[in-house]
Amino acid sequence: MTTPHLSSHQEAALHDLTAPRAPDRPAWRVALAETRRRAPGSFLSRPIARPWMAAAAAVALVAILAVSLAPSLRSARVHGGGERVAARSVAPSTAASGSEGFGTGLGALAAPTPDQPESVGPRRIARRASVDLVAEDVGATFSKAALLVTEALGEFVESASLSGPEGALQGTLLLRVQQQRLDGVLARLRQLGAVAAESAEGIDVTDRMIDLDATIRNEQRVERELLELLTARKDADLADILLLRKSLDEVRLRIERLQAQREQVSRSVELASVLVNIRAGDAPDGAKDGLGAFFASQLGKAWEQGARTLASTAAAIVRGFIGWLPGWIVVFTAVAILWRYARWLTARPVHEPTPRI
Amino acid sequence: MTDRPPDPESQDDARLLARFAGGDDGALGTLADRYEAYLYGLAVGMLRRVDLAHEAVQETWVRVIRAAPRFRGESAFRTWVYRILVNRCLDLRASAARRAALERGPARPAPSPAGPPDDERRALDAALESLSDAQRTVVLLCYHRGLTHAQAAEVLGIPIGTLKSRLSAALGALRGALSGADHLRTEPNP
Repeated sequence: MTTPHLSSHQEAALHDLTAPRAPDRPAWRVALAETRRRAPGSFLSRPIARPWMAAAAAVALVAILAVSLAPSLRSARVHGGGERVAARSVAPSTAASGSEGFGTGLGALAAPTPDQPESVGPRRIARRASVDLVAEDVGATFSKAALLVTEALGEFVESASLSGPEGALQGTLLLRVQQQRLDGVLARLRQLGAVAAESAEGIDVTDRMIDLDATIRNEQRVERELLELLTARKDADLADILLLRKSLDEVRLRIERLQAQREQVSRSVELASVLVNIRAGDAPDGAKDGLGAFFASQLGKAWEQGARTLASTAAAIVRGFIGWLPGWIVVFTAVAILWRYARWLTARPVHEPTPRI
Repeated sequence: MTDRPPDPESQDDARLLARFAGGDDGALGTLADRYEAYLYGLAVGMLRRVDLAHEAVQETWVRVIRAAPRFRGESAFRTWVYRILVNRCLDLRASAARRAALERGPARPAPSPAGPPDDERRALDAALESLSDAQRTVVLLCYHRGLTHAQAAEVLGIPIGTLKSRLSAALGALRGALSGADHLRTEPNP
């Protein structure tokens, strides 16, 4: 077999045909400018092949989520051991419009706050509410309100008074109801008349209970020590023994007082207080003006409530956006990096077909 | 694909491309310093027109730039970029031939871009033009200084034995085309 060979001149000419030579202007620069001019490409659209960057982004995201969702490390003692009070009151027009908003607000008050220290267990919240009702028949409303307590559950009417002349009768009730039933009782109260005012508060008594428990334990320890001293010093002077007994009595008195306080605080948590003030006035809109006026009134209230809800939602969004701006920046950057890394992972590999010759 | 481990140069090219994909334009410049002159030379040889050659190289870089973020080094960068260039050159050559056929009738060989050719060079150009695209591409790739025969075979996606047999056939055809001018001689294969 023979292989055709070219002369050295011809071979040199063939080599020269494809010899490396620099173009007049760098083609890669033109290509780069052209590519960016045609499709600049957003930050998100360009894949990124940096696993370490993706890992860092994932860690940042997890950290942000952990900081957002995990309970704060601030303990209740940061607040100085005092009682924390969360309160909410509503304008009469809003309060009269229905049971939803306020009941939800109370529920929120009763819910354990995220900054509870784990060591003290659930927060102990004493809930109090007050409702001012305007009713056509004060006496009947008074009786109906008093019947809202369920004695079988340990609930009771702590105080009740009905006073004033006929036509200007006024009633006041202090109901003690199970904390779990507070929202329901308030809802029932609202149905008994027009709500002129309504307020609620949740008092965090956890610290107070902790302090009382600690003080009781301390006093009990002192009591034990005094008893031991009394037992060990049977042959002591009568004056000393009497002094010891007096001290022991004082300690026991303090313990009983503290235990009573503890019990009172505990009951204030168990049973919520609802102060109901009832006074005479116009009947609710529906009863007085007929269905049309009632419908118009309710529509107006619904409109106002809707507008308020919308405004508060918008405010919450703005608050969340601005307050969390640094966090959002980190989250957005991390998500963008992860997104670009995912695009790289899922991108079709480059493939140039073999020349079709 | 081959079972051979990637050579250091190829890994370095892939790293440069990854750096470019990460936003370092200088890395693309380094790659261009390595390859652009060779690519442009091959394009001039294949297309015989500097304007088309520049266009082919530019389009090659455009494709490299766009695909850079997805390049994972399955094949060597050199093979990939040469393959893109050869495809672009073949496309441009075909469209130029079509355009010339529409405008002036049968296409004439373009003048050499390297200045006025001598008779031997002109005869070689004419002989190359008379070859088929496949034969001309094989000859030019094998005589191109930027590629070994093994790399040329990879660019074309054929085994090296096939490349050599195609080269032999192409050179035979070239010799035949040149025989009228008595510029070709046959020597026994050692």
